[in-house]
Amino acid sequence: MTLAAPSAGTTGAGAAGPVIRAVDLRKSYGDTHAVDGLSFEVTSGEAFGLLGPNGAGKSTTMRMIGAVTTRTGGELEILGLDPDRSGPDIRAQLGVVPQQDNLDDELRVRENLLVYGRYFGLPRAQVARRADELLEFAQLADRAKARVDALSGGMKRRLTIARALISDPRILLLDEPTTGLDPQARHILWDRLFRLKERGTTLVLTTHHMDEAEQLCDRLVVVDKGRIMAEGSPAQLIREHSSREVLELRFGSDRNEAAAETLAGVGDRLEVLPDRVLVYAADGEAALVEAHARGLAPITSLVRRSSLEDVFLRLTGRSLIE
Amino acid sequence: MSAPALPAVSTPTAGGSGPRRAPRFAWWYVTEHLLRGMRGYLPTVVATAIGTPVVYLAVFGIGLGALITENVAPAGSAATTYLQFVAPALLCMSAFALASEEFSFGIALHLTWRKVFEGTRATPIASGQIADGFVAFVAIRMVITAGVYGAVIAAFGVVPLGAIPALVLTGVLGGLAVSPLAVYAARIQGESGQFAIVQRVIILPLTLFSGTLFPLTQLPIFLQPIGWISPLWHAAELGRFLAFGPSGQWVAALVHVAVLVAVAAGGWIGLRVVLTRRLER
Amino acid sequence: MSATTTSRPTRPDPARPGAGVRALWSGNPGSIINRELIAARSTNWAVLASGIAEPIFYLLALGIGIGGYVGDIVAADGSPIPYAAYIAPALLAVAAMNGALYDSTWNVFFKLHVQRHYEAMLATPLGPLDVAVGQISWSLLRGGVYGLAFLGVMQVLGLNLAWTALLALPAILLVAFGFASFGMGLTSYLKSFQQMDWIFFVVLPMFLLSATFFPITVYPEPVQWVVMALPLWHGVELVRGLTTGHLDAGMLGHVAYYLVMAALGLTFATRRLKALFLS
Repeated sequence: MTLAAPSAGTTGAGAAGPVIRAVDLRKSYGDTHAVDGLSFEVTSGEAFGLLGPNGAGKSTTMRMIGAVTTRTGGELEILGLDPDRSGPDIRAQLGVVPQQDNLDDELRVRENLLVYGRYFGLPRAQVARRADELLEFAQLADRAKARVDALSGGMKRRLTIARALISDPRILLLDEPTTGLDPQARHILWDRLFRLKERGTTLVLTTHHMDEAEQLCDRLVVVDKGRIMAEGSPAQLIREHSSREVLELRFGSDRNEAAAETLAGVGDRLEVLPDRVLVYAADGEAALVEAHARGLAPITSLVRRSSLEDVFLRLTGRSLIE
Repeated sequence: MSAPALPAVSTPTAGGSGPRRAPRFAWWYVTEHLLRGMRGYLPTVVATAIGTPVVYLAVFGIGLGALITENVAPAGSAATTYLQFVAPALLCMSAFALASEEFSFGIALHLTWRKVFEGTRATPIASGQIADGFVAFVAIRMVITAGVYGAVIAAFGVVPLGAIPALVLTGVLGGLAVSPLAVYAARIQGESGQFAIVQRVIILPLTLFSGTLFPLTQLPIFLQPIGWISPLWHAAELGRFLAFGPSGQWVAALVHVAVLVAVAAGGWIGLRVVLTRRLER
Repeated sequence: MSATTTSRPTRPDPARPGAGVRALWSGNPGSIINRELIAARSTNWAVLASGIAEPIFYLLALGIGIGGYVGDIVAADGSPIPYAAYIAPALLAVAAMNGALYDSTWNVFFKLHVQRHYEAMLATPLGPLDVAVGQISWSLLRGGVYGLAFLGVMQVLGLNLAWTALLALPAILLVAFGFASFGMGLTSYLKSFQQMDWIFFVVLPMFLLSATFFPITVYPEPVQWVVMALPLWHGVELVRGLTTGHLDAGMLGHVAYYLVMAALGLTFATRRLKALFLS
């Protein structure tokens, strides 16, 4: 009758049901509608992303999922529980990685894990054992006794993730996990998160970096102004909302506009940004040849694959990072 | 790749019109910057500057004065009440307290925590001028605080009006003699409570055992040396002498001045050295 | 229906009512105290020790220096109290106040706005009441240690005049409780360092005026009323009554004052934490 799914035997939710279910979820602050009717579901073991620019309502959504903010309207179910009724019980089963690290810098690295574990009421011995495993996982074992402020940005982030995992959560919430990190630190972090995904941890993350969403998310929703603009896997979204390739042309600050007029009709679609012109085309090289043929001499030109950035630009008319 | 034909823009320029070396009065820019930084704290600073003398005079002068009826002042002094005995010392104490705060936390705030001085050092201003500017900033703060104190004392009619300016200068000089603390503060890279310890174990005894609230001679002889090394004792004694006499004891007064000037100058020079070392590594 | 509960043993009952986002309490303030104990391990012990030195310096300086002029203070019943024995209990109460206020103002402000510890804590099953109770209990623990040390100094110097001085320890814990709760409640509403300064703008005159160094009868009556409305005076009178053995019914009033103060502080602190982090 029932399947022996990995989430079997847990609170409330039916074994096959989604771990998060939002229907017409809304959050308003006075007249501002931070989240304006989001509906989505996250299934167990999935890596689900909320992609959108700053101020899109991603963090507010995350706070509602984290059971630290009440919703203004709609339905929300986390692990089969209603956060309005079972806040602490939901929080007991979540791991939260906030946008800004809020590690305890009066404590050493390992102590951060021990103390945080106790907040969940877990036995000391269990927390200690898990702390050592997690330090290993976060590649911080040799830093166990270090001061937090002596860690690099990437290390702090990994420690925050280790901390969020101390209670063996059913869902890991990551709010902008790699924002502000240098490229190398980001790749290390993605590797760690990917391993979690492989182990079956349910990940919910927000990001405004399309490459991050492409790397990590099985499925994502594009959010803007508190609403969902599109939903699907990264590849699916790119296929549906953009061309295969993009030609980026720079003509100098004042000349992009004029060049775009000359380019009319090249490729499927044109997008004029303050610093460059984007030509969406199935074949970028061919578009570049055509541009030269029309007498244009761009300062720089670049042909690349379409990305989620382009999807977002298409859907909202704005850049993700402004 | 061909060079991009950039349009001619008026700002920013390609550079070259800025000053080539530190202006002579660059220390003042530092002072000005620090004074501007105070603006956010202006309401509490003003309230404290006015409120503290009123409260202290009320508590020690009037409150304790009601209990202490005998004449505490040295023979030959024109001071007859306890209030007159403590008022000059309290004025000096205000400058002393302010200096010990600025020369510890103030240094750490600008040098280590907010790294303001590092930013200043990236301009043509020299490290020594940063030290000068900071000392001048502390002096200005003390002039204001001690000046308000002096005004309150004068309003109470405790001290002859003519003695107030000299009293304020004495307080400021006493505060500047706390500058060796700044040398210590500027050497600390990671503060983990050292200042709290210094405040409680060094500054507080120097304040309490320094003949401010009662003559040093009240203490057992083995505690009196704490007063002798306290800038506050020298300042308070000097201040009392300037306000009330006894006349003719100029030698003692000059000794106090000499000690304070020497310590203040030593701290100042020390701060220049340490700041230069910290900022020009 | 066979609702076999196979849920993980550490997970509480999901059906528990009134446990929504804004649930106040999960019965785990001990984890906050645990955090403070571990943090204290790596702090500078000399800082903690120096906190005990502070009232001792005041006692020595004023007891000897001023005591030499003042002699005895006459108690309400006409009996004389040596000046040092008069100010010592006041300094004890002040030490409790300072310790509690330091912990519940600057430390709380940092955890609230700079280090954002409370944000991290409240993302776990902990509720705001766990945080407030845990935080305040820690202040009490620290205040208690300071108080005990100073009581010991008083005993050595012969400044405890009656056996009731033993009761001064619970009394200063009460004083610390009042100030810690109130301080935390107040701090949770403040947004800037500048506003924090105002707390200490009030504390300094309160320290000097609350019958610490001389009876308030030296002031005009209106000033006396103001002093008696402020919390420290009640603490000073309570502790002094116990260490000198001058007991009276009014001391119950002092106790009541602190209980109300603590209750108000706790209520506001909890409410504010809830509003800030569990809205």
